[in-house]
Amino acid sequence: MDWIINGFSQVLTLQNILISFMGCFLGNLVGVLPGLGPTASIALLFPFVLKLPPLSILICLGAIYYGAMYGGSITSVLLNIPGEVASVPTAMDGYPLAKQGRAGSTLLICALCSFFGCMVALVCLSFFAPLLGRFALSFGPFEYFGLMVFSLLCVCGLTGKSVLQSLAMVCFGIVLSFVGVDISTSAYRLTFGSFKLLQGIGIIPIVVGVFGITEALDGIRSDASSIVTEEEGKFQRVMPTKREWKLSSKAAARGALIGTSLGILPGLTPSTCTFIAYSLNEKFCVEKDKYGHGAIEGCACAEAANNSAAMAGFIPLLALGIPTGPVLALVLAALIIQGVIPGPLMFTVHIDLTGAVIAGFFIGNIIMLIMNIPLIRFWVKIAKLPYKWLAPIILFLCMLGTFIIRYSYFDVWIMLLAGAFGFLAKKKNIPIPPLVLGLILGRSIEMYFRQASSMGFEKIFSHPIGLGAIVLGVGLLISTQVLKSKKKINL
Amino acid sequence: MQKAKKSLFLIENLAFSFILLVVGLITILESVRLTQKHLPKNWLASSGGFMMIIGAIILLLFLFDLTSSIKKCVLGLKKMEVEPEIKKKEAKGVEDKANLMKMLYSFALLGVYTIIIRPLGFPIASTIYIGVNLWLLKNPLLRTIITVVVIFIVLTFGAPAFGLSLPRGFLGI
Repeated sequence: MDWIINGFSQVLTLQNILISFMGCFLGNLVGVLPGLGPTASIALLFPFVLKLPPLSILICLGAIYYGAMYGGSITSVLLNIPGEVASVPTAMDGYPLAKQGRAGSTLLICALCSFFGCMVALVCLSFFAPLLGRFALSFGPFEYFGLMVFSLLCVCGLTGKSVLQSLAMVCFGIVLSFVGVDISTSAYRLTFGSFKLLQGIGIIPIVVGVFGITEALDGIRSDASSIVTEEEGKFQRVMPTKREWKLSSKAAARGALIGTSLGILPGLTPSTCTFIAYSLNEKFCVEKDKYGHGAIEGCACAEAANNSAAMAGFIPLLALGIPTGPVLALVLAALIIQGVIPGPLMFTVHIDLTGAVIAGFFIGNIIMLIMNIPLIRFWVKIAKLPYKWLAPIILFLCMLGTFIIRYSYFDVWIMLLAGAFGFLAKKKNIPIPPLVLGLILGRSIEMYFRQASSMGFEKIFSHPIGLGAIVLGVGLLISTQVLKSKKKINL
Repeated sequence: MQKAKKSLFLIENLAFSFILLVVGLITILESVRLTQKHLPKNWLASSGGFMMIIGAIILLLFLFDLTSSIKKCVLGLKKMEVEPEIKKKEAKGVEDKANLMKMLYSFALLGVYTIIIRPLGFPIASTIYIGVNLWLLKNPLLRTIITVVVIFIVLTFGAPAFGLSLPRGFLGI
């Protein structure tokens, strides 16, 4: 555990604490805005963060991530506006509680349970990620290829209504990653003679386009500000009762356990983990009659599950370089852009960086807890800002963020195209996360595929992990498609 | 009117299949071009090997998607003939249309904004874009003016202070 202690000594500098504070603040700020969840928050702030060194990027993106998630909880409880899908259970139980005048105690419980969930996942991250990383040192191209295919198939199986459409989007993402000069052979691929396409299609214009522009346009179309209700939750008493403490602590423990265990799996985004934990918790809760319309246990479980799942996703990301969802794909992209490739080397060559990142997450969570409680009323005011004012500002920030990365007008046009495509895809219920994951993992998958092919692809049969991962992924994909076609599930 | 509706319905349902077909064909053709150009010893490990596999998967997905889209279209068209007039709530329809137009104008404005950055410079182009978009979305005049002034000051004086050198256009400062 020396590496974590060293990490704390690296992180406890004024600069990193300020970055963590800024990340939490900005994440909260964007997270409370109607219609902007953690993915859109990170996509919007992503280009600005890239100017920082790798450690600060990870600390900042982590802080934005849990800041945005907590932002969604505040608006869920006080205004009945879940900023993202994962906050829906919190809104279901939190808003009725707020209407009873218990907004203060509900928000305090939410903040503490989010903190607890994050801490449980961070402890797991500190213990299990190095073990997984050390184990992964023996992995070769077959194993990585298998695991990446598994990751993409899981995302396809678990997002959107149609597995076929999700698969198609992954393939589109991979095709986009082909564009440019092939690093191995220097061949020009899909450039159509264009000089601008030689450098490839940037991740940032696509990400900002499909998440930032799409969300802003969708907000204008659906008049997002109209969902803000006039009735606001009241604060009569901030300190929860003894019974509330007792009920919440048990529910939070269940939520954190389920969230952490499921959050490691690719494709299971925090939203899905939260819903699974929330529905499982119903079987164990004491106030069954209130569950879903004013039970503190519901809020506690949902918040703990949401945050622990978000943080647990960093285990496969840091140990194997495999993102479990779109947000972590963006974190991976940020690291790749900075020249740090997550994987087993994070626990050997980059052990100092990894220790500092985990320490940074611990500190960031503490900062968020301290910062948020006095700022609740401020966030509510932000959440009530009219969308007709916010939308042009968001669109402008997307433009500025994309432009300043390479000062390229071409990137801006790509962003606009991606925005239009993302909007149409959203309108037709075609999932966007598989596209982004395909784009980000495309080059790595191809590299491992080519390495495996050079060694003889038939040798995959002597690599049970690689083969097993592919078989498991295909099995999961087929089973979810069968279930979806029978309309039994719609994750 | 009914014919136009039917055409729109068909386009909406078949567009994704068409995109799949185009992307799949382009990917496969590019893979073939690369293979013919470089004549690799190990085709799978070459620039075009993995590309061909992805192209083939896309074409396979196209076939599946086309089949289900055709089924959907046939069912949808039959339904349209049986129930030709579906009356929507008028007030909501008008509001939706207005919001859709606002969204389209905002998106078109982004295109204009990108074009005017080079001649006018980033601060002026951004100020014009934000001003026009705020006006288009019917923000109060005072709020629009304050926002525009703040954005202009931040971009002109604040951005250089943070080390951001944005294009200044004809001002050339």
